[in-house]
Amino acid sequence: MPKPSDLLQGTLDLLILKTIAREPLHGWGIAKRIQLLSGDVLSVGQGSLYPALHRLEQQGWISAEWKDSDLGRPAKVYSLTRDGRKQLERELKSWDRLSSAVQLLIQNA
Amino acid sequence: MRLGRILAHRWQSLFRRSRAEAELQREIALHIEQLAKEYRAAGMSESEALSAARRDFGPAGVTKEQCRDMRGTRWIEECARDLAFGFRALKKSPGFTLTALLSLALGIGANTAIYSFMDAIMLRALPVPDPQNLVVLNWRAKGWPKVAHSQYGDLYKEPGGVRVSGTFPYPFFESLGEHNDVLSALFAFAGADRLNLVVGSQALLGEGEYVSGNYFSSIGAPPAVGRLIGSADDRAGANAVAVISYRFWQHGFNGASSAVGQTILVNRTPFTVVGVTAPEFYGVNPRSSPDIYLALHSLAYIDRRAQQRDWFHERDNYWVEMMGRLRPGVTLRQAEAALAGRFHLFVADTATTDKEHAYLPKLWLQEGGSGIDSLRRQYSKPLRILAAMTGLILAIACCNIANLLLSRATARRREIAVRLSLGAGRWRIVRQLLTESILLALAGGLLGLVAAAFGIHFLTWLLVNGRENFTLCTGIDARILLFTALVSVLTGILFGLAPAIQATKVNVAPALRESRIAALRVRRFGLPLGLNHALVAGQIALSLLLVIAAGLFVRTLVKLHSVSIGFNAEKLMVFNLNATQAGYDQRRAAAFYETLRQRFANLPGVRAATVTDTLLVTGSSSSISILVPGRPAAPDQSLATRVAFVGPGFFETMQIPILRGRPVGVQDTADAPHVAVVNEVFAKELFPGRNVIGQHFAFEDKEREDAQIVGVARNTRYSSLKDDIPPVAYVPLSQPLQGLWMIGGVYYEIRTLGDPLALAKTVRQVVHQANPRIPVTDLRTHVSYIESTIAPERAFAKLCTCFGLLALLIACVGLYGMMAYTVARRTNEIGIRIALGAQGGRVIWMVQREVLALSLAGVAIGLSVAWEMAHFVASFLFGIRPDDLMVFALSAVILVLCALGAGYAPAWRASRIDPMEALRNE
Repeated sequence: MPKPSDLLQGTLDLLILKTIAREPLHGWGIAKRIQLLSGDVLSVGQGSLYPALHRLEQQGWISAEWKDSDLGRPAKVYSLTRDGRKQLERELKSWDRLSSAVQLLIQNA
Repeated sequence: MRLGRILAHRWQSLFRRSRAEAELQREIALHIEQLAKEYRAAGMSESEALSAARRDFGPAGVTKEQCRDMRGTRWIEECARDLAFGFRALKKSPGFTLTALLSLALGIGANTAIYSFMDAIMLRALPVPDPQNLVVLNWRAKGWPKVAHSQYGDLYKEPGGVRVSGTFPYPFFESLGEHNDVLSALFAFAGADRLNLVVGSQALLGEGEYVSGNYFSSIGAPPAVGRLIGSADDRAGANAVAVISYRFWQHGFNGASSAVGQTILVNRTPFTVVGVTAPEFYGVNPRSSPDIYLALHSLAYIDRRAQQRDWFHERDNYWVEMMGRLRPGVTLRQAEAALAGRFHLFVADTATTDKEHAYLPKLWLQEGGSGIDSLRRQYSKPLRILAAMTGLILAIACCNIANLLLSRATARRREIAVRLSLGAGRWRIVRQLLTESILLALAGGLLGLVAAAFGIHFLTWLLVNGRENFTLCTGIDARILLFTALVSVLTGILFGLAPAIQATKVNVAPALRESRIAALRVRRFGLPLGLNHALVAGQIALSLLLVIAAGLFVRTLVKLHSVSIGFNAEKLMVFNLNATQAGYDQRRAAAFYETLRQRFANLPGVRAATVTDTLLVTGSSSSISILVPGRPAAPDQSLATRVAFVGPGFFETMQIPILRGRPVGVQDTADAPHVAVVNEVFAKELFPGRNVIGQHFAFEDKEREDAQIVGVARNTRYSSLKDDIPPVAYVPLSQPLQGLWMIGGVYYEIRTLGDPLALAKTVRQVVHQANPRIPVTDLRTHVSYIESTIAPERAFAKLCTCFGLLALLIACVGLYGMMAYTVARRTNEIGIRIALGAQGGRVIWMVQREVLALSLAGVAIGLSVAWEMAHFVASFLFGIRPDDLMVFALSAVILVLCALGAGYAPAWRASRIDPMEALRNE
């Protein structure tokens, strides 16, 4: 199984962390929220969402809890940990650097 | 914080796997359900919506697997599964497992035991700060250095007459100073032998060490209680103070803190205890740990030899040992060059005659991190040989298990092919098989530790060999455990890897198609080129090495036992007494010894009793230069004889026949004319062709009148069974030589009518009545003394015989296993042959032919290796050459016979195959 490229993986992590930074969400909610907030531009495939969630949990950035949810039954709800918040800031910074660099390149090239 | 969370998470995934799995399942199901809900809302039917959702989600199994991968515990889980599977596989074949475990336990146990000794003797550093910059000063001379008019301490003879020792004159130590350009510290010490210590009313014997004032500060040993000896204590006329070892503090003073300040009598001189050394400190010699430390200058209070002469100013008296610490940045060689130059100036200055200039000793430095090396010199070679042997045993065991595994792997071809075809990676299967063998090896290692514990006891017993003051500490500690674990894992990989790789080299499709029986017929038999054949031949070769070693040592032992010693050692009780230590002067001690001798001789159950300073054939020896009138000595060599000082009744008690003249008797008192009895070699070498009775000779350098030879005794062995008989002069104990007087006390030899040790109690009572302050020590039979001189040979013979048998057994089991397996594989073919009329004998020969070929190949390899290696053990042999033909031939024959024996059972079974049965199996 080929691993997603670093850019992609990093971006997905950023999207997930940013999405649950506002409020804890379950997997379904995260997928929907990303789709919605990006104006249907970004769609996270389930095939990569869940492994990513498990990886982030494994790394201690997010924690999970089974809670009653808007889906009418208990769902696994992910929330950001304190370490996760710091990680999100780091990711945001590096994303800013990257996107402005790309922007710069596109303008000047 | 984060780490805690990660660990908790991993813990969950590892040990609550079923819960984690269920949660994953629920999470994914929920997602699919939501998707389906959307499709239903868009107007799809229930079942359509569900299948659309599933399609949308994609392969849930793969997603789950990826989630599991993310947990990061997969390899642990796999290992656990491999282990569980390994356990099951091993449990399924208990015969194989038991055989393998047993041979591994013996192999690893033997290696661990030997390693623990090598560690203690050769590798372990002294428990002091920075042991790596400690150095030991030694000298080496091409022959006996005449500048040393007397020398104490260990002296080693190396090939070519080279002498090596670590003792120096005190003035040389002083001239180097406590610091110098190359050493940041230099300290001195000297062994004090055993001292008579009286604590309160309790008399004990203790090992003593004289140390220079800077000994403890330089070596960096802290006191446990009180203070240690300092510079102020080590000068002439200083207060007599003593430092005791932690061990002596515990058993002499019961660890009481009041010990410090108390007075202790050391050879009747009062010393004040000022401190106790730390529990782990054992001095600088791993061989023996001192019980009591005294300042070097205290020597004058205790040692008669030092009282008579001035040891601290004599430049020709070699008695102090020295160690130092290198200055930072100075190498051993640089320090050696600097110190050697100063030593050369010193000795050249003391040499006066040409003889003395001939063999000037040269200083050399040695690393001292593990202390002085008397033990290493004594045991490192035997230990290396033993280590090599135990290594061979382990190698044989490895070959054996590898072979068994190989057979098993071949039988498991189908299983492995199934697993490969289901998508298991080859490395994954190799890993599984390796886990199995490492598991086996670790279990073997665990059992091996048990075997090692016994082995260490056994080895200690062999090495101690009757010595009372053997304090080498060995035992199973963390390093030994690490060693065993390492050896086990390596062993597991060693014997597991080749079979595992071989087993996974399977062509999947044909292997799957094979029937069970066909699988057994893969290779045609009779082509002895497989890995398993090589392993069996290798085992036979290795076993042959051990069997030959056993043969050589057993023959050595037989030769030693057949040496005629020249006197009757049976029914002789021996013990040591030392009246000098209890304060007797020479004349009174002699009278005391003689009175006791007469009392012993008159005890009921005693046939005869005598007293001597030399126990024959027990390793003790003293040599003295003599002058023989009419026989000028060669300029660079003087005549010498061995001496034994003996009391009246010596020849009668020892049952040494007097061939001419008379023995030493009661009439030979101090005031009577000086006499000597000599042995045949003395008479023949020093007075060739003359009647020696009535001849005179003189001891060189001693102010003593000539001795007249009054008798010739029959030859006996002198110090060792192995040495040629030297010239010996027996001199009356009451007519001693100046400065050579029974320093170590005297030995009584009591010839008894019955059991020699039955009189031990009576003898002790007699001595106690005579003087309660004099302890009876080393009470044993003379035979046991002689036996202990050949203890290394006996130990080697026994150990090698054990090792040889073990190796033979393991190799035979291996051969048997392989042949039994081959026969099973060829059942059909043999059945057909029998059906076609092959006779039983012919079938047996067919199988045994292969055994013979394998064992001959193994024997040929083994013989050629043994031929090359045998000289390594030459120095341990006596009376035979290391390439003794008889031993080689006999060992080869034994090996081939054993191999044929092991092959016979499978061969016989092959000849009894029922052709109908065999063919029906097809």
